Amino acid sequence: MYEMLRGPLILIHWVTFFVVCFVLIIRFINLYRSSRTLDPVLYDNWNWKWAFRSIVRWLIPFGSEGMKNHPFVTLAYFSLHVTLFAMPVFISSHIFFWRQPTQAGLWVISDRIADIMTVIFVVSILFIVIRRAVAPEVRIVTTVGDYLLLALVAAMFLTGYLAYHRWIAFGINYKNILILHILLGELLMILIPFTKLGHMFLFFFTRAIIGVEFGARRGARTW
Amino acid sequence: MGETEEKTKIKNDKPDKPIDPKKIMEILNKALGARMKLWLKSCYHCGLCADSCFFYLAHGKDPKYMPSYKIIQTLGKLYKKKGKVDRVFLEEAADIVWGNCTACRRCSMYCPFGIDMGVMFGTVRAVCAEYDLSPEALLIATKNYEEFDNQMAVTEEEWIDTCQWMEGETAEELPGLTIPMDKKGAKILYTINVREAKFYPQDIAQAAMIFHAAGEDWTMSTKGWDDTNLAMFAGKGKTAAEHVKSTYDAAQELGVKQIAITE
Repeated sequence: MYEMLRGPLILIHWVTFFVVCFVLIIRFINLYRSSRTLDPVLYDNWNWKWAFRSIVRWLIPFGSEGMKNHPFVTLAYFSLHVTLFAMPVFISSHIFFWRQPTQAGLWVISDRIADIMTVIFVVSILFIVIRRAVAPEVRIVTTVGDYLLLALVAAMFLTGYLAYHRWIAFGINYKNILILHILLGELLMILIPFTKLGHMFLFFFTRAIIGVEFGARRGARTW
Repeated sequence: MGETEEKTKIKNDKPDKPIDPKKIMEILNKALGARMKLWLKSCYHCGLCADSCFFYLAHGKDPKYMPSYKIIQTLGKLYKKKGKVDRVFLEEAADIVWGNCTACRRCSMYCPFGIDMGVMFGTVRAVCAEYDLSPEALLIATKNYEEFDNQMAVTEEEWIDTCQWMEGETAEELPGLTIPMDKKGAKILYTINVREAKFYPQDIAQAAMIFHAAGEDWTMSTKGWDDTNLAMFAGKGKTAAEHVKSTYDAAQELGVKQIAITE
């Protein structure tokens, strides 16, 4: 079945990719336009230096006071994000996505490191889920959607791991697991503009805005 | 929460208008720029803002006092319900945004996404203030701004009198000292907290002594001389804006280069 579906799956992948890009671009244009009329305070004080510093400080592990106060949370979230970004792009089984269209030779994560990263990912996502369920200040704001997104990401990882090692889980052939893995990936991509996953783009905007608000207007840092 | 603890209940004893979802949405939509849209979408419920809030820490880390939760309970619900809320909801929201938050914005500095919760609380305050659900003292101050352009109902005559009285007394100590009033083309327009005129006029005298000793070219104004703005804290944006404008207009009319603000 996988051989039969491989062609359509690649097509689905690129169609999803471009549709999601299109939706995101439309969203950003709309946001920009409403900001021009309703957020003049932003442009009166715009300053690239403060915007940039506000973003970079929160991209460096322990670059902000908030992160220093919560070392375990910081470690868990950084591990989750690093593995989540590095694996899909640089893992050897994925590299054909990039090689085929561009014929480029890219840096590839060795399979041994990939396995170590999987362990790091599992530990960090478990920490995050347990913290959500246990810590009162996180529990009170946690919604079902938060758990669902974490579950989807974990499921994508798990199916990828199973498919790569050709294990048979729940009596399902690894090739069918691979199909499931690909479909989960597409689903997560579609969800980016419509769910909290959007923070992968929105982060840079909100951080820049607060950096300008506190830095350019008041000379105060936000990290 | 302990039984002995007193809870401020914000109530409007003489409600003069029914809650109108359309009016609430008008306020909410006006605030719904790109920034607000981003903030409403960005909270990932990570809980890292909790520690930044002194209300949360002072209440034994009761999660009900964490910033994100307070926003979700008030502004989040207002947007979600499209303004279709009742008076009880607004009273509870008023208790949260005035009683459990000072809009100090410390949480924005600890939020990984930099969500500006102070502005968001300000929006809820504006909605509550529309139905006069604000602390009473702030409402009285707002009325005073509207009528007298200062928060303590000091008339223009009283204001000029106070300055002249202080000028007379201080000039005995420092010959040649004046408290210029509406002096066109001065370099600095000096504005004060109305409290100084009402209760501590010697503060005005002391400022005048410093200006005199420094040889500064300064002036007071008969208009827009109170630099406090409690209307802003009351959620009364229109009055707050008009009050700031009166100071700005006075500075323009006098042609000063700087506005000095006391504290």
